[in-house]
Parts: sequence; structure tokens; C-alpha cells
Amino acid sequence: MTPRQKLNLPDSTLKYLLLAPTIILLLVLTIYPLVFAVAASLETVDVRTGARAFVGLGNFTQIVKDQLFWNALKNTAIYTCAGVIVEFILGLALALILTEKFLARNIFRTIFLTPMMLPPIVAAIIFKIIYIQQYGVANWLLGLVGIKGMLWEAGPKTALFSLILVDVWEWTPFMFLILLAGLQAIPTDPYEAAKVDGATWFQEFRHITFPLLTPAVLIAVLLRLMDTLRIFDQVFVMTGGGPANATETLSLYVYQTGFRFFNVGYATAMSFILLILTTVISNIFISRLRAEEVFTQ
Amino acid sequence: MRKLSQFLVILAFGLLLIGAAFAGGAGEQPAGGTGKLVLATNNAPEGNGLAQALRQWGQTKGIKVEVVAAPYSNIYEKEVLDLSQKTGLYDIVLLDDPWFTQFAENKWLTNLTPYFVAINQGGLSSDFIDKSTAVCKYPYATGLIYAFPAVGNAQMFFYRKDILDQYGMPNGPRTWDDVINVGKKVTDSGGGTMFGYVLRGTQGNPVVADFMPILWSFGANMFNADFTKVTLDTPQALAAVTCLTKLVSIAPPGAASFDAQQLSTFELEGNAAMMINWPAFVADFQDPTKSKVVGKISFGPIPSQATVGSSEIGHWLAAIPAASKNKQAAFDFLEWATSVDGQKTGVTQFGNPPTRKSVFTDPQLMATPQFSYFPMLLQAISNSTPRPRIANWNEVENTFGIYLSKVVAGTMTPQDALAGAQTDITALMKKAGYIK
Repeated sequence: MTPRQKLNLPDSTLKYLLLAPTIILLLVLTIYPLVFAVAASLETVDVRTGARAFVGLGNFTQIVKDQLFWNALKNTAIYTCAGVIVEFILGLALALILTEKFLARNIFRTIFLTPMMLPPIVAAIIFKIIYIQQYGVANWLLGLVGIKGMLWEAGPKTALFSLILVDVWEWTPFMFLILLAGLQAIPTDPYEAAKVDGATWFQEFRHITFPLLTPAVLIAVLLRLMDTLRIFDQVFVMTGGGPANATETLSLYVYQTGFRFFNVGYATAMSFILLILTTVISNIFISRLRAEEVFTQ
Repeated sequence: MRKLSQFLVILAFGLLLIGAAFAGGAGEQPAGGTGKLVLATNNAPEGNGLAQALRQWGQTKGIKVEVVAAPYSNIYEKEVLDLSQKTGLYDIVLLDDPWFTQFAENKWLTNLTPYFVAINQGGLSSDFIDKSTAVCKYPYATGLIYAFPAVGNAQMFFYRKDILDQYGMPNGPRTWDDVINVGKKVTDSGGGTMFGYVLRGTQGNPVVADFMPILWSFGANMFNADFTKVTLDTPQALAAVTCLTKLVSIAPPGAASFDAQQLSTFELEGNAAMMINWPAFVADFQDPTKSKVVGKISFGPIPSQATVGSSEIGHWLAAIPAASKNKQAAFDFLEWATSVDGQKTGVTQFGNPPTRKSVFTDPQLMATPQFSYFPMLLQAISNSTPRPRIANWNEVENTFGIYLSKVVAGTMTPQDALAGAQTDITALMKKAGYIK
């Protein structure tokens, strides 16, 4: 007798019984907070009395008019696009180089992965020190090649770029790692066939490597996109959103509104917009992944 | 069926265990008031002083104590979450004085007057500096007592005595015009490594804390007396922000990202002549392993201009949450920790400035070179101004900070910045109900 026969439960009951723990966990950890958050996004909290008041979609209409929100959205968009594109290009180049066999290849692979192992806060603090105008390594290095030092994260025009640079330094290895795995998984036969046909290196890359690498590219870019859209640590540590609001991202603005000004309803409403944005963008990638048959329905 | 019954027995045991765990958690703080004392504090010398005192108190009194320490940037949200939800998790909170109005107005703190009456005192001892007592009362200076003044911070004007001597100002600059005149000469002759003035330009708290004394010196203020009008649209305010731009022009490049620590580094390395900063950095200047300017730094009052200069007060206050279950024990501890002896320990062990006049003028401490700045700090606190006592100060400060940061970064003119700040802060004050 199998255990199920011993319990004498009908199939349908057993099915739900086995699913129950997962469903309960999901309800408690995801659904309840989500419903609670929806309710909170429709309220305002009085900073002086703590009284809550229902305002309907008032928070959302206010967001549309909020210049700080649009500025934060713009900064987040620039950060995400620039960061992910540069990380992708560098990561792909590194992966292509390090997939070739040469001396000490493994040592290089390990070295390139180290930035990713640092906690983002630590990376941010290291770069804040590197960027110091008078004593920092960055300006000293520029000075060696005769370039006048720049303001880095202290200049309103260079601040966002300086933060993106930290992201690129820390997360290019992640792109590299996934793309390298993708490259290693490509079978060798198509290349052999291409060689017989006399294909150039670029033709091989264009018609064999890149198409077969697409699933890995999509996954790497998707994960980085979701991560950079909610970037917080570096901005919080390095600039606090300044100077002149040049680096305030959506996550930082949401955090400040929620936890510094205790405008919880407004912060929740903004979080929803960030959530919708992330979901829409991610789904574009996920549907492409489905088309590539990486995910199945 | 046997398996099912086994499953049920295991489930029952599991539930029992979970129940016991929760009961244990709740049992740590009996409602009677003999449980352990829990302190929420910032993870810096100011907070460590009180934490150390609590541990010592726990040992002598045989009370269990616990310290929850978090960095400055996180302790505010930890405290607000606990206080607003009335969890009673903390029995003592150490808070920065600009947060006090919000905490008191929301009725999150315990009114301490009955506890003082019980020990035959009308309130805080008259030994505390008047301005220190004033920030512990809600409404400011006149209301009930909700906190003890734990650490006596107020900004001071730091200057290089040797350099200002050369320019005929041995007692430091008297006005902001003096600062700009001398500062310009120092920067011009400094070859890009020595600067006349260095300022905090980081968006948010730092830039506002640096600028408020300048605003006051020019006879301006952010609000009228009862907070029903924003007064940043005045010629005095414009003169103050214009002064800020002049200070930026003689400050090191990158001032837009400086905070108090970086200012101190400039001064320690001998690369800056003048700055406004907190007393917490004084000790470093006398330490030859950290300072290249030992014995060269003097402290003076905030320079005057249209009115007499006033320092910004930044006390750390110790309060008892309204939801605490150990109020009497917490009160007894705070009474002891802020006593003359308690403050002396804080001064000698942690370098924390006191709030009692008798400790400031203690002959033993005054004879120690490390505390030679005490008379100056006592004067600074006695002549200090608090940040506006409004519950939404964090949001107002952030908004003002964005505009000031734009001025420091050179992306906005003083006129536009003040006009923007006037509009935005008025909107915030309307939202909070101060302006009808």
C-alpha cells in the first residue's frame, strides 16, 4: 500500500492539501502586504497627529504634478539605460576574450569576478574616497596623464555619470559571468561548418555566436534592469540625491518620503508606479525569453 | 490512519513550540515595570556615552538592560516606527532635537513633569543651560518637559588663529564680510591647496545646518514667530544666500558634496582657515596623530552681520516613549545619567559636551587642555537658536536643502532658489496645517 492509499484521501483533496502550505505562505507574505499597500496608497498620514485620511487617487494625481518625482524618474531611466548598456558591452567583450584558451585564463576570470563580491555599500564608500577632489586616487591618476581633475560626484553635471561608473565597475562581472556561461554552452559544430564555408570572425559572431547567445543576453540584461531600476545603496551613501538633485533616484525619493517625512501613503503610491514600471519592462523581456523557449508556459 | 494521527501529533507539538516562543517574547517585558530597560540610540560617541551609562546603571541596580544602536541615518526611522506603532519596545530613546517637535506633538513621549514632582522638583534643574532646557519642552521653552538634555551640542566657528593673526584678526572674524574678505585673500594666495573657508554643501541636513546661522546673522528667518508665514522672500534672506555664493567661491571645489567629516579633514590637514562645525570634532584637532594644526585652531562665536551671530543648537535629548512599560525605572536612570557626575563621566570618557553650567565651569575639567573650548561652547549654547520647531522639519529641511544645494552647485541663482523654496515650503506648511 502506498502512503496515499493508507491516508485514503481522494486525489482532489490531496492536491489542495499539498498545495496548502505554499498558498498560505503566499497569502501571508505577498498577497496580504500587497492588499495592505494598495489601501495605504489611497491614504495620507498627518505628520503632526498620525491621523490617516482616505484620499482616493489623490496621491497618484499629485505624483503626476510632482517635479521631484519626474526628476527622479529621469535620473533612474538614465542610470538604468546607460549602466546596463555599458555593462552589457563590456561584459560581452570580456566574455568573448576570456572564452578563448590562453595562459592564466582562469586567474583572469577570478580577478574579473571580485568586484561583484563586495557589498554595494562597501563599493560606494570605496568610490567616494577614490573620487575626493583633493586627495582622491581618480584625480591623481588623471593628473598623471596631464588631465585636470574633475568634480566627480560633487559636480551636478558629472554626479550621475560617477555613480553609473560605480555600477559598471561592480556589475559588469555579473554580465560577464552569465554571458561566459552562455558562450561555453554553444556547441562547436556550427563554427566548424562556418570555417569550412570560409566565414570571417565577424560573420561567425553575427550569425552563430550572437543568435545562440540570445537567451543568456536576455537573462543577464533582464536581471540587471530589474536591479538598476531600484538602485538605492550607492546614491544613499555617495550623494544623498545631490548635488542639486542630480542623482536622486526613484527608490531614494520613495525612501525619503516614506521613512524621513513619514508620508507613507504617497511613498506607497510611488512604489506602485515603480513596481508597474519594473513589471512592464521585465515582461517584455520575459515574453522574448518565452519566444526563445527558455521559459515555457 | 496511523500516519495521519502521527502528523497531527507533530503539528500539535509544532504549534505548542511556536506558542511558547511567542509567550517567551512577551514575557520579557511584564506590565509591572520591573523588566529590562531598552535604549534606542545612535551609534556614535553621543549615543555610546548614554549606552555605557545604562550598562553601568544596570550592573549597580541589578536591572537587565539592552542597547539598540543604529547609525544616525537609520535611528530616526527606527524610533518613529516604534513610537508611532506604540510597541513599547524601547524605554529610552536618544533623539536629535529637530525631531523633538514631531515626537512630542504626536504624543509619543512621556510628560516628565509628574515624575519630577514626585521627587520634589518642579522640573529640570536650573543648573541646565536655559537653551538646553528650552529644547526639551513642548511647546518650545514654555511647555511641559518631555526629555532630558543629554548631550550639549551647538555649532561653533572654527578658525586658524595663526592665519587670522596675519590679517589682524587675532580674535577671529567679527562679521561675514570679514570672513569673505580674509577668506578670499587666503584662497587667492593658497595656490589651490589652501582655502579661506570650507562649507558643507551636501544636499539635505548638512547644507541646511551650515547655512541656518548665516541666515540668522543677516537678520532673516525661515518663518515668522508662529509659523503661519514663510519669510524667505525678504531682502535679508537674499543677502544671506548671496553671502553663501561668495563663500562657495572661496571654498575648495566640490563643496557640493562635503559633509561635517570632510570639513574637519580639510581643517586637520591644514588646508582650510575657517569653517562652522560641531564640537564633536574638537578633540581631533588636539591629537597630533590626526592633526597637522595642533594648537593653531581657535573657536569663536558665529560671525555677525545685520544682527548678532547665533549658533545652531543640535542637542541630543533623552526621552521616554509614551508606550514604555518601565517609565519610572527609565526616569530614575536618566536623572542619574544627566546628573553632574553622570555628565562628567560622559565628558571625560566620550568627550560628549555637557548641558549643565556647573560641568562646563568645573575647575578640574577647565584645567584640562582637551576641554579648553568649554567656555566658548557654553557661550555658543547660551546664545543659540533652534531649528524651526515644527513637526514636518525633516521634509522642510530636505526641500530647502535641494535649493541650497543648487545654489552651491551653481545651477541656480539665489533669487530663483529663494523663490522656489518660498513656494515649496509654503505648500508643505499648508499640508501640515500650520498655514491655513
